Amino acid sequence: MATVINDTEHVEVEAVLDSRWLMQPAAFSALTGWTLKPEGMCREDVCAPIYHRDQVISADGLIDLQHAAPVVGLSAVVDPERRVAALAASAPIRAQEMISLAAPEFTLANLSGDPVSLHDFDRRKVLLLAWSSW
Amino acid sequence: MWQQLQQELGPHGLSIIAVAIDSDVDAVREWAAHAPELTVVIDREYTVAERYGIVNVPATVWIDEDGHIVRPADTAMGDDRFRAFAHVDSSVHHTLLRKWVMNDERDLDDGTVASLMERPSPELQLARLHRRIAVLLHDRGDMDGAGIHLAAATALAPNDWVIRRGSMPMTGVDPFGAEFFSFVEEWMAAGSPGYRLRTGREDITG
Repeated sequence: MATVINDTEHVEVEAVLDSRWLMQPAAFSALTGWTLKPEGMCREDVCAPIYHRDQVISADGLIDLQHAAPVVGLSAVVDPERRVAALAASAPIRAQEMISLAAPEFTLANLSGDPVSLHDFDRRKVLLLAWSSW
Repeated sequence: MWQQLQQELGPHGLSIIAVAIDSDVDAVREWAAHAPELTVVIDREYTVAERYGIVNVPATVWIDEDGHIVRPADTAMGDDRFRAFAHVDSSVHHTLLRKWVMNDERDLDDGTVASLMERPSPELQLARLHRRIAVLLHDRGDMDGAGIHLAAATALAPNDWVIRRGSMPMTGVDPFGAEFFSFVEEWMAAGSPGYRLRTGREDITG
């Protein structure tokens, strides 16, 4: 097994790791919600064409996570040697979300370890104060 | 001061969520002890930084009752302790905050807010992912692996304070030491990139 930090979640996945991070199409689909079809990577009724098919799909039909990520609007960093990868929205998709001005939801632990979410403050004005001890 | 602002403006509908972009839980606990009225949460993986475009701290984002961002990330100090260094008059932001909370007066319209959001470059987004991997490897005790990913993050986003300075404690570098000051010089030579809003900024020449 290997670990993918999928946005805010840590997910254990099956992967074939050498110099690349390869996954069975079903495992890739479970991770990202995108499914490999003849017309490209598809989710619901949207399909994204695959331009560099030899990079995205290996000779034995596995999906290369690093190269498939940009096809479906994700950024990816893979470290096959340490069996860890991280995925998040690509820069253009995050930028689109930002300019919509909808405050992104988040859930983080307080000092007692209890989850706190933005939506706990519905109908309040919120000042997010980002700070650090460093 | 944030504690006082929470006491003053809480009854008028304001909640301050202090998001510690930090791995040092003890340091966060010590800070939080001085601000018992604030909601304090810990963002070890820089989730909020990534979603709200936080590139330096301390910074604030204002969110209204409908979950709508009405002021983008910008440097905001609790007091004037760092004024000589940061050249920010903290009271300017506090005055704007009171006007917004008490009178619903905004100093920026939506179009301005949208244009000032810190949209990530592809490199910065990758740097943030390297940072997340570094935290995981650090937690597993793989300091070499963490160091490799922090170095990759720094190479991709050399002028992002959250990536750059925020990584120093994890690698045992003093965030107030020589490496920090050489980073500041490098950052200034690059034209001090960062928040463009500069609320309360006292401009310095030269």
